[in-house]
Amino acid sequence: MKIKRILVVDDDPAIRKVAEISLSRVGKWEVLAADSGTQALEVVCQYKPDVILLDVMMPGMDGTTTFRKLQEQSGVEDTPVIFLTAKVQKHEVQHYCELGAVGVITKPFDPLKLPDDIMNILNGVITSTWM
Amino acid sequence: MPDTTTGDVVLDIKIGQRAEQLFAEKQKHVYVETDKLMSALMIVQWFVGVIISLLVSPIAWPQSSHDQLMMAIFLGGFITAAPVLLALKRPGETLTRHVIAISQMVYSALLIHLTGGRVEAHFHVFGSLAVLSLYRDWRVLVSATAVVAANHFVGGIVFPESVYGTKEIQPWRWLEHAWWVVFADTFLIKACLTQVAEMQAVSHRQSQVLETRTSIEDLVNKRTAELQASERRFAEQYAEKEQLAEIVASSNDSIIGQTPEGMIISWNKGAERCFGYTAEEVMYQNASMLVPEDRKDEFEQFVQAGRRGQVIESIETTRLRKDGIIVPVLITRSPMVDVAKHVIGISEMMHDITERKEAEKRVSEFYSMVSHELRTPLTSIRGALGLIESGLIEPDESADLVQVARGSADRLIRLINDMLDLKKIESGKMELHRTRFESEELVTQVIYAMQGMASEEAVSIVYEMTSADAIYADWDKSTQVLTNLVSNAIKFSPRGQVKIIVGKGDYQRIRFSVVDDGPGISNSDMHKLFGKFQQLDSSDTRPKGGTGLGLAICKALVERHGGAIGVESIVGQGSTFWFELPAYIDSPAFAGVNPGDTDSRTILLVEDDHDLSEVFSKLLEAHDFVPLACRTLTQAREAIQLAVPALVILDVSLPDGNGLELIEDLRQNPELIDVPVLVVTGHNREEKGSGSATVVDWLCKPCDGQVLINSIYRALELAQRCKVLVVDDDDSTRRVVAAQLKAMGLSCVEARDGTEAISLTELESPDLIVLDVMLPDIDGFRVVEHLNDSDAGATPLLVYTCRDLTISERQQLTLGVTKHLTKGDSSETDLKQAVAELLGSLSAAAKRRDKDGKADSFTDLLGLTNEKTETDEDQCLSGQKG
Repeated sequence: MKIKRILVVDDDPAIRKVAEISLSRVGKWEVLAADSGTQALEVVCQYKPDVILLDVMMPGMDGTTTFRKLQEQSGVEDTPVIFLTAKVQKHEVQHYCELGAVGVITKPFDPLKLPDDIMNILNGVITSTWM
Repeated sequence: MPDTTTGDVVLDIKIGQRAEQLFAEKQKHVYVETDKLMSALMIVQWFVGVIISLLVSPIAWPQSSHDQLMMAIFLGGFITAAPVLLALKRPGETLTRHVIAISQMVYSALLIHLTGGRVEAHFHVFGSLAVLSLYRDWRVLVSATAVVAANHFVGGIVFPESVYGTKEIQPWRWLEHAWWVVFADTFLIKACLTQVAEMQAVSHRQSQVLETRTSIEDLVNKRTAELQASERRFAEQYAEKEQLAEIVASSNDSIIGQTPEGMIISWNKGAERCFGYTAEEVMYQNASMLVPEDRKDEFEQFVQAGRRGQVIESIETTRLRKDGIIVPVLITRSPMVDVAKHVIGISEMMHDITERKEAEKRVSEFYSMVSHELRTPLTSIRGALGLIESGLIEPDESADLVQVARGSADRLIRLINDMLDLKKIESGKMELHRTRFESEELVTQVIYAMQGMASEEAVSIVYEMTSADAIYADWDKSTQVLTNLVSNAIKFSPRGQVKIIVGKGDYQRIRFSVVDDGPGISNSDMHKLFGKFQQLDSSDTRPKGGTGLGLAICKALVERHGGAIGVESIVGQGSTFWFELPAYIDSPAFAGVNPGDTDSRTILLVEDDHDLSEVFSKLLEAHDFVPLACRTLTQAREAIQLAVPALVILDVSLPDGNGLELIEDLRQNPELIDVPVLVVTGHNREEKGSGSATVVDWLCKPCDGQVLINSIYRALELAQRCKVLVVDDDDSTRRVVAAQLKAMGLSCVEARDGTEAISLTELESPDLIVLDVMLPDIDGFRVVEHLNDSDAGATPLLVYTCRDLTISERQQLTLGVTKHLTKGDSSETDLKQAVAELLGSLSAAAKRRDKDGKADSFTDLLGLTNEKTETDEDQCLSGQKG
């Protein structure tokens, strides 16, 4: 699978910044960013990213709700979603995987390996990372 | 049970004995009755004899009829008297019987004689024998027969007419008579024996009946007793069983009795509470109705194991309640077996572990939250560092990333600090440094500090004072709480207004309310607000720099102050967060010092820390003292040359030397020697040099303002009021004692001998006299004697001597309240303790106005207790309450 455009959704500007740089410099992808679930829905519909990196714990609409809304949205329902979360206990990761996302990337992540991790998840090599 | 044969033998013996007894009784009865009959008969025959002698004797004995009459009367009476007497006195006895028999036969002889030996009269003999046979004793017949034989034999030889009626008789004639008597006797004896045998047989039968009845009665009694005993045992067992049943019934755990197949046959109250079913609802149902679907297989295994007699011990599982809720339980199943070890039922005990599970879940959630909160900032730090290191980025971006990492690191620090703070407060280890301050001061300070944030968010902050009371709380912590609430309010009131209202709260507390016009909080969320990380799932705290612990910390801080915190909110109309802190209440303990006297209000404050000096100065001013603040030792030295302060507050670590050096200076100057010193230090109290001048109190930094003020008042009161006369002829001892007392903040007067002691007592009226006994001129006994007669008779006295005093000596050496100390045996502490106690009792007695227990705190003040801070804190609290 080829990625051209990726959307990063996180309420924490610092994490957004790190992810943006990592994905654009290391992954050489076009990076879109959203600071909330609501904004993410708008961006997805407008720019149709190839993959979405979605934070779970967000104020207002949280990651799982955003994910469910995305799946209801026609045209974007097949866009793969990878959860990004600082909840890293086994049962938590398992829970997020079961929600229907293609994989889970745990925080903190290695910015130099982030694009590789995303590709591995999309290619079905792994379902989650742990650092 | 006894052997049957033995039992029979025993019974036979008993029957035999009983029969003999019965026979003896009957025989005795027969003897007694016959005795009565015979005596009656004999009396009657005596009269008959007299009548015969009147009627027949004149015919038979024509020549001597008068003699015959006399014989009938007297001889007959004589013969009758003895047996009748015996029958009356000794009825039933063998002698009586035989005497009666003999007498009867002698009377027969008399009767025969009276009738002149007529043959007809001989029939009396046979009649008598027949009557005597009523005794059923053949021996009586033998006695009687012997008398008859003797009478006939002797009478036949001596006086035949009287026996046979003729003078001429054959010598064998008595034999003929005897033969007929023996003939009659033979049958009578036979009859007697038969009757005796019958009597014995009857007795035996009677005895048998009686004994059998007795033994049956015994048996019945025995059986009854056994029955009663078993009834008692049964009652005991029943009670025991009832108790057990009660225990089972009242147990909080579910205890369910089941058949091996799982049918419920007993259901206790615990089960009722746990599952919500009553016993009627579940009785005879299968226990699988309590098992949720996903545990059916497990339950089946339990049942199988139960049938095999296996115990299931403390297995965690779940059960289904009547209302459909699944509860976690700890289950124990024990089979109940009969004598043959067959499983007849299962006792199933279940302990509801919902609470434990919830606690475990809370702990697990807390760790999960902490992990999450730590990982979030670490993500940006790790990410930023990784990117910078990789060299893939532009220099300007690099600067941005450094800032990102720094910001996240700061957040991490805040988080860790908050967590540690919270832990510290919650474990009660955070010390509060309470001071008195105005509530308005707190509000304006916080508004000033928050102004920047407020203007950034375009929020205006206003305040309203409905009460202007002072607060007694930790300034920093109070600021922290109010700042937190105001900052939250600003975050949630975009372009709005935040209002702080100060008013009276409950329990003499001041309430600070922070009102915002934000979105408000739903009821369901409200109770979560003050929890740890609770708001993270749904709130906006995190992006605004919070750690999710702010309100939890506020709550802990306020509660540590003995205050309260809460929130009121209506969705859409904003929220009001409020907290209450204790109001400052003037302590009556401070009423003693006269505020108008400026000389006694000057306090030299030696403290190099600017902020602390400011705080202390303000505090002193608030109490109408005149602080004279010095930053260095040099300044302090200059100050004491200019004015005599009422008190010195001294820091030990000063920029140009050790503060304790100033104490030396004070000691050198006679004007300053009595000035009390309060040492405020970060050092431990124990590090002080012993006997150092007039140090009244050591306060540890950071020092509670109220404690400081209390100490000041006490020290001043001490310096003003307590004067001690030290009497000792030994110069060094006297000086050491005086120095020790001065170190306690007391003023001392010294006397070298008894005369001086008496004159100084009159002149100075000391509050306490420390007296040596061995003095050069007049000794301690005479001094006490003299003082007892003077006005100083009630002065407290401490006898401080080398001598071991006897009880009578001690009694002699008594003034007011008196203590006796032996120099060699007592330490400096003992001396100080004794002085403090004596002065304490003085204070208690004389200074009743001092209501908050100064007599006790006096001891504390003199540094004789170790738990200084706590005591003072408690004291302050009680001061407020009072």
